[in-house]
Amino acid sequence: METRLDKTLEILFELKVGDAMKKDVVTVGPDDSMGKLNEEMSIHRISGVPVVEGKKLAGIISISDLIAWLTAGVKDSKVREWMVKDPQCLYADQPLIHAIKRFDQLRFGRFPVLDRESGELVGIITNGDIILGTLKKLEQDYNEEEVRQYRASHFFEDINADHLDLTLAFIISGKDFDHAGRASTTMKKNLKRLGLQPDIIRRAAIASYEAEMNVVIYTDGGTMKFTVNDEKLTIIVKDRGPGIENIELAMQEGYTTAEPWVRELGFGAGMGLPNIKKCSDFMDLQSVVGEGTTLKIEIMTGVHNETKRINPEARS
Amino acid sequence: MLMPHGCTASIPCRKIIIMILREAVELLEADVQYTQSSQLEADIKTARASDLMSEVLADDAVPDILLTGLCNSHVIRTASVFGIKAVVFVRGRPVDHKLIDCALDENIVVMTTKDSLFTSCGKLYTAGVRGVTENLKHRDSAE
Repeated sequence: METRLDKTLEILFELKVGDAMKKDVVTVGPDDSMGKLNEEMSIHRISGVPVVEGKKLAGIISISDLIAWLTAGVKDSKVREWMVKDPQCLYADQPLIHAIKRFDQLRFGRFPVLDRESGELVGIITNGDIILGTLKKLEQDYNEEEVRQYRASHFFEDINADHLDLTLAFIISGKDFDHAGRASTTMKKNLKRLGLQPDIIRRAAIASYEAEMNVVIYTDGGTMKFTVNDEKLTIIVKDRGPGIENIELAMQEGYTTAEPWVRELGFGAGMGLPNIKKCSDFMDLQSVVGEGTTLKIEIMTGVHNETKRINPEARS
Repeated sequence: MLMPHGCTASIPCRKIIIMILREAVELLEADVQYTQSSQLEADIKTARASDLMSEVLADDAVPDILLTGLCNSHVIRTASVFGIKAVVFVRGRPVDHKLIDCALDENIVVMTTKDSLFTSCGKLYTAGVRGVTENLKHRDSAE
């Protein structure tokens, strides 16, 4: 019965020689002595070494060449005299399947790998590297598939309504530094599972983390509410005071009222609010001294909104 | 073992090698406090050194590794929020179990080195790792 390994075959076409090769290559120079080669081979337990002159590959020398030298009994011999000149090579951008065919045709133990443009040696590949590279890729694909299945991204597709909002709320304790940031990192994981784009998740995580740290550092506590729909992600952060006296001043980069111990935690540099603004598509800060502050952040989630943000500096 | 043995002086080894995290650990003589084995195979091209977490969060690009003298779990949270794979705590600061618990939750590689921030950065730079903003400039000028 014929065994079909479609997935593996697909991977062998997809993976490039450069993905599977060993990058830390032991090399020798053509003018190195054969004695040194012998040493290198036994130290590293390898059976073949590329010979490099300048940046270019000059040849390859293997254990059979070494044996030939030992048998000949010539002393003070150089690698240049025993190496195989103009060896067969592979290029880093060739698909792995091509490498397998070459191994099969030529029955070599290894191939030096060159960069196509510069012609420089970038690695070395053996049959073992091909197997390991393929297995690694299979495992990676398997993990990704697991994550995909675990995702809740089909939530919005499975639940039918004219309009759907998913709201998740967190309670933030003031001055609780051990747990500060928990809401933001938890929310980051939730957004990942909801299948939002990585760039949006990152911006949302940074903005909410800065906001959460502000609540922990400066206030007596509050709440964070994340609302996701197919258009945007809204984050509303409310605290119970003391409130911000001058919002305009607070928004200025570098302005801070933080005490030294806040700075010791790595915060309080007056960069939080400006950074929240930078990460969001819309930001609104309302505050009443003695009552509290409400921060509203909006980040567009629709795919068609991505193009708007190519240059974040252009926005004011 | 950053430079491969048997590499003659005329060959710029750095060109051949892109540093991986495992090599950075060896170079910094660091003690790894938390990792999953496969994470140590990650490529390290860029780094950032800062004790100010909000400064890190305000950057336009994400470094592969963060070096800091600040030693609390907020460094881990910052790394997680920003998408940094690994954190190096310099000057042999002791890391407590709260920090390790946090690293476990967020799956961030944590290591400590006895070297100073300056020395650690110097070692990485010599090995070809570049600053994250510097890398950005390079990319921009190439375009």
